[in-house]
Amino acid sequence: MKLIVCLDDKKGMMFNHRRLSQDEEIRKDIYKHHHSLIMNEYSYQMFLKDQLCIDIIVSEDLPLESDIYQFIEDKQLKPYEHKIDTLIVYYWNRRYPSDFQLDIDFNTEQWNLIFEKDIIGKSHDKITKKIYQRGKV
Amino acid sequence: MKILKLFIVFLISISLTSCVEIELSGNIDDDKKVVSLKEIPEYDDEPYVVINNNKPDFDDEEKSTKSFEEYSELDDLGRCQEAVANIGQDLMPSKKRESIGMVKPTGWHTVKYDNVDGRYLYNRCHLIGYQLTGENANEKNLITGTRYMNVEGMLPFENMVADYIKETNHHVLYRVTPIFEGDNLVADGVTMEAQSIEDDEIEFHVFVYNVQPGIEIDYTDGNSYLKEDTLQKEIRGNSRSKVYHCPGQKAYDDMADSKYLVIFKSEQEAIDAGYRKAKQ
Repeated sequence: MKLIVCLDDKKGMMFNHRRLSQDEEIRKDIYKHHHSLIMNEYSYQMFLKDQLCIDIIVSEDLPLESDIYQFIEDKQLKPYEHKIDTLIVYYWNRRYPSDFQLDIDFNTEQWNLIFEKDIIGKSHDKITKKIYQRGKV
Repeated sequence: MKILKLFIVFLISISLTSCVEIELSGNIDDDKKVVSLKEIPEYDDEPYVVINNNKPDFDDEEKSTKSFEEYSELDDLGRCQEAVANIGQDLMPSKKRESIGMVKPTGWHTVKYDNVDGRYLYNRCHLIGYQLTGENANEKNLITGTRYMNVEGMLPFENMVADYIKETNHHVLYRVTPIFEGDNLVADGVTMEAQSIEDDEIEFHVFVYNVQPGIEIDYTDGNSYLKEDTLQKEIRGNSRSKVYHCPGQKAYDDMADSKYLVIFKSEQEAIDAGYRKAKQ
């Protein structure tokens, strides 16, 4: 599995069933690197704001066993951790309230940071994109 | 005539009773449902608590795409009341914040503690954050708030609203109401309500506690003291992360059983050993 998530400083993903934030520049970065993407209907409504130039598969039963990258906003991922090869994280570098956090700890031996880059967002001063790859322990 | 007088006395006594039992929360909208402190659970290590299932208490007629901001008159004791705004990009500041140090909100004290982030216990705490409506030294928008309430409690919500408006150019109906018990000069906390207008992306209703871990506050006048169990306590360092925790900080208790525990007699001793203070 290859997944994409957005996190605040406390690994927060959602508050009151809503995403914590959004930024057009993240979606542009995704379009630059991916030709197709899997996401649920809630995420799809956000991507519809853009002139879609990639294929999007909508499914409510995420994450799927697939090699296509999946944009995840509201799913606990710990149960699938052993199946995840690559996790792309866009960090907001901001503190938001959250009642739903990513439950994967990257500070363990199995996760390796292989890429890091800062992006200037439309509404965020600095978004940090990090790519983690899960190695064999 | 005598009956009329008795009736007036009765009305006044009802009114006074309700001031005690239902904490007054503002004077812009008299019909707004007020939040009673009796409904709020005791502070339990979380800076805020969700109330009313996160549903804000706005009327439909308040929801529009026209920006506005309103700050209530101070009450008879000089205390801030509710502040409400329909925030759009046109209200947001384009300049850096100016000095607000000349405002002395009710219960204000300039006091420092070693176990408080930034050391100052109290901040002049904006009801509607500067990043949202650009209000500087507006005494109707500044209360005596702890560093913890300001930074851990209110700021994350302000960030969420500000970034949403910047991104979407939409509006957010937003209200912050300080909740004072009786004649106290320092608020027990604030309620924060928000609802995005053009879509459903922002919706919350929370009570943020005006507390500071490790510090006892007298809400009648703003005096404060180190909590009994904070006095004479050791500083706990983590030899792995090189972070130290003071009494009252979030991970202090957890560190007691850590295999990485290092004990210092003072913060200075920890700093001299190359440790930095935990952020919360």
